[in-house]
Amino acid sequence: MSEAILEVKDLCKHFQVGKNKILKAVDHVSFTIREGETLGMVGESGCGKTTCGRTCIGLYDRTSGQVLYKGQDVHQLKGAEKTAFRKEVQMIFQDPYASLDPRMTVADIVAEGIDIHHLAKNRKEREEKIYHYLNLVGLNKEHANRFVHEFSGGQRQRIGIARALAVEPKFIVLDEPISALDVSIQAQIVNLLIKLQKEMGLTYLFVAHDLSMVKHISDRVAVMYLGNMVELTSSEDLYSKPMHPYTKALMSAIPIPDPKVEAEREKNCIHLEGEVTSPINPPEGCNFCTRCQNAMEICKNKKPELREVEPGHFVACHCFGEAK
Amino acid sequence: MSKLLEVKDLRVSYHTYAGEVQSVRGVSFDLEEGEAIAIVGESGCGKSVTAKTIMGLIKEPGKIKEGSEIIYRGQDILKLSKKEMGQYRGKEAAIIFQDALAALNPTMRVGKQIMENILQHNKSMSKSEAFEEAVKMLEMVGIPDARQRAKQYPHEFSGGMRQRAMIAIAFACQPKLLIADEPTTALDVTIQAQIMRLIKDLQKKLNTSVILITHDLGVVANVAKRIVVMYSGKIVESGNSEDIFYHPKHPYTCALLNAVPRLDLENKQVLASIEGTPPDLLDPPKGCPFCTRCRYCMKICCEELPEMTQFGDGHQAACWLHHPMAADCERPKEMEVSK
Repeated sequence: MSEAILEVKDLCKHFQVGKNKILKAVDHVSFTIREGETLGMVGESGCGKTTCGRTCIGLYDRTSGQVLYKGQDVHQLKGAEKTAFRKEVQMIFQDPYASLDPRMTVADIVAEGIDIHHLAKNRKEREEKIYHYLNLVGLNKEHANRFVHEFSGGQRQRIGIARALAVEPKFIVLDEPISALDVSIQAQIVNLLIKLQKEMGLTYLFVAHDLSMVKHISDRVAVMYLGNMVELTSSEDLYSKPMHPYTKALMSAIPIPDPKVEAEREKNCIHLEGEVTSPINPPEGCNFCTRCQNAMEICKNKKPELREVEPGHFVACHCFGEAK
Repeated sequence: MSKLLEVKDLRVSYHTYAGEVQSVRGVSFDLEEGEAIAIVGESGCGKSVTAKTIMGLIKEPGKIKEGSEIIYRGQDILKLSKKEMGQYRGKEAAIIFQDALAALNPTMRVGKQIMENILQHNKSMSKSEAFEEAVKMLEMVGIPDARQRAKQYPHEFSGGMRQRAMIAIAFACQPKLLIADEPTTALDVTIQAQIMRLIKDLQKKLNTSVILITHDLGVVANVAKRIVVMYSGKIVESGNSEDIFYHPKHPYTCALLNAVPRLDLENKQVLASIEGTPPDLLDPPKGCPFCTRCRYCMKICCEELPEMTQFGDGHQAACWLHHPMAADCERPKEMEVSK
């Protein structure tokens, strides 16, 4: 088993949203990401998956806990170490329309990192690098001097990927990289990401709400609910034998492009009523207990801990509690 | 069952500084009373423009071309006067949009927005009666504490509830036709399931005809009886949902079906993506619009537009592969003819 590249220990990120109101976006989350793997992170909107991704790479300050990147505390880095860290860790954003500067040419966008980290010795090398990375993501030379508004959504996402790759990172946080794109274009981008990972030995943290895509690209998947991690396991296990009631409900809500299977699914579907409760001052016990069909008395009072139920399969639910 | 809506050879163009963008290029389909159909396609294929035309919402620089007809219960709605259009919109046909926050008025209480529609079409109704009706609508779409909620503003609602409020507005006057333009694209899977179930229940209960517009084939599988697949302003295939899902007859439909990752697929397998992008509608190609991205493209495809081939039971597709002369050509395995 390869080594852990990122270790997250008991990470909390709380936002103060008013007098005596604390929004617990990420609450006591721990996990590790091994070198060369893809960890998928899924959950409904407002579950803290994006905040978690951003806190992991130091875009947000933490409230408590620790994030170790190759043994170094991400939030304690200073000066040259911080610069080096930022070269190794990159991010690709959800909205390809908002995350690229409309007043810069594509060449300048891609080269921004190269310039900051002095990766090109001269103008010629800089240009070569730009063309190389554009080529890598399926764009060509002619695109380099154009502006962002001239591109389609899928092409813009490719520019965002080229920009992230240009500094030769090791670890990339992908924050819903495909949810703004069409189905046919989604497949193109996912294929590209998988190809790049194989070629360059990248490690991904893939944040998304589309479970079928996450399953496809990830080695392991973490399910988040209201700032807590409720299940963490390999992607095969998660889909073949989900344990947490929330994961089960999420699974059964995925529509399947097949009318017969779909009619069957609808019958057996676990209908999740209501919506995510507010993360401001969440319930005392298990966060999911307000929507859970198997909620017991203990769920209302005590927060379940994430524990290893089977080798490599972590669940936070009282149903899989003390008995094991 | 009688026909509720007939769209005949609809053509819509946008006149921009760069030239004429032909968004919809000859679309024809019909809809029966109480039936649900789906229009599926990528962004820019003209599906939303088609929906807006049916609602009479095309504005400058958009223009509906001569010869287009939309017959609603025997009347061409493209020829309606402004006043008649006001009667038709809301009372006969209603639409729900993708982005509920942008579609709702942020400065008006949700209840009042529902009342607006009710009062418009029932002139004799008093305000308090209309408010009661609005509360009833909110209850029907499953919003708890409807009475309090009716007095709140859209920003106090969550995404799923805003979409429910939009559905309440749309159903307020019991329209015969509901157009749902990507109603769940901005929502989570769990909420998407709730909203789709709601639309389906209401459709059955009120016997409303529904046109569901989406790019996600998964969503339509169990809702729509018939599916229309659009590509660059044209219908490339249409038929009932089993035919489309199990026996697609157009390479584009096959590719769309294969591009969706299935849970039973092996991990990290290369997805069958559709390379390239849809053609520019400023200057649409002479031949089949899909020819540049089609793996089975032949010489004729780039030169001439394929005719619709009929396969019975309303299933039709526009592809040269169905021409008798192309019988031996390679084709997607879903389209293989059993011999």
